[in-house]
Amino acid sequence: MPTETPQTNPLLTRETHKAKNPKTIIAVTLLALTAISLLIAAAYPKNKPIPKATSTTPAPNTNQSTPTDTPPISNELFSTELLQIDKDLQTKQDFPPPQIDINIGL
Amino acid sequence: MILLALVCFLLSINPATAQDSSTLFEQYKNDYSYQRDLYQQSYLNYVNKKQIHTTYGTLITLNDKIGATKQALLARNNLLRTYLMALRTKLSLIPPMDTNTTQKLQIDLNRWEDWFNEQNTIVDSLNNDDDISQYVSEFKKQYNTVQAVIYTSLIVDEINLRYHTLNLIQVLSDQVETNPNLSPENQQWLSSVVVKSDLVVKNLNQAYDLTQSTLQRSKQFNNFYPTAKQELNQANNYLLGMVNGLRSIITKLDTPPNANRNTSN
Repeated sequence: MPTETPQTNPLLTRETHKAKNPKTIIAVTLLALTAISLLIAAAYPKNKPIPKATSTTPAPNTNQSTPTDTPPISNELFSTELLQIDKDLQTKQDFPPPQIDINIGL
Repeated sequence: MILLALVCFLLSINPATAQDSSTLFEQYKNDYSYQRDLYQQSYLNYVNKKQIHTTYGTLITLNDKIGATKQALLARNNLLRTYLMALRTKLSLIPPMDTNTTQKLQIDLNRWEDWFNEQNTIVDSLNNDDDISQYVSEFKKQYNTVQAVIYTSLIVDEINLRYHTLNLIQVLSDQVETNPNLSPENQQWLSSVVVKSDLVVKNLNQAYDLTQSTLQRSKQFNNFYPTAKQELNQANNYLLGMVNGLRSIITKLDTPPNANRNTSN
């Protein structure tokens, strides 16, 4: 009397095999990445500038008097010269002569 | 790659002659430090041999003492010669206020360098205690003049530096004076820079006069350096005050004088 072996569902077996295939995993990952890239490209087209965080700050009051009314002062140049003067003032000119015995031989 | 190498080459070219003097000064200073070590070794050996001869008083110890004395004298001459060389080069590091004075000092220093070289030949020919004693007494007379030249050079070197600083302050003061944001009070302060400059110049001249009055005297060296240094320190204090005042004015230049008045009201 033939014994009845348990039958496995061939569809289930195929699906399990498909899920474990590395080629499939790579393909799915690539698809996902492509989709994300497309979404970013759609959100920020090339010609459209990316909004900066500072753009949310209110615009300056143009009626207010600003230092730009006068020509800008080149304080950087002054600071360079001040540094040079400081360096000059801190320079130690000490180069004392050697302490010698002038009585050698006596 | 070739372009990068070209850029590096161009950057490495430095036309400044002051840097050449600076390099030379560092080199001479190193020579001087080396000679100082040699002098200290020779001097300790001389003291040791002298002490041994004083204890034993034999012909051998006498010869040892004379040999050690000659070595110490040679080392001392080399030490002073290298110091003078370094000092002469140091005088070229800062553009001098009075070129003639600085050049004359450099010629003097060079002359004494040659003199110390000649002394080494004389030291080689010394054979006994009498020769050495005579040499020492002659050396001491000449060394008074050497000291005067050394200390005068040190003072003139510092005077040159202070004049250089004063010039920088005056140039900066002129630049600040043309600024439209300058308040009347600060304008008045800047006008007083001329008076402060005169005080600096007065101190520097007094320091220089001290060196000259001593040089004109007899062979006896009178150390003018501490007094001259006091004059230089006073000049330095004036310069410090000037630069602090200028710094204070410059920090207020960001805002125009009208804005300052508005905020004070």
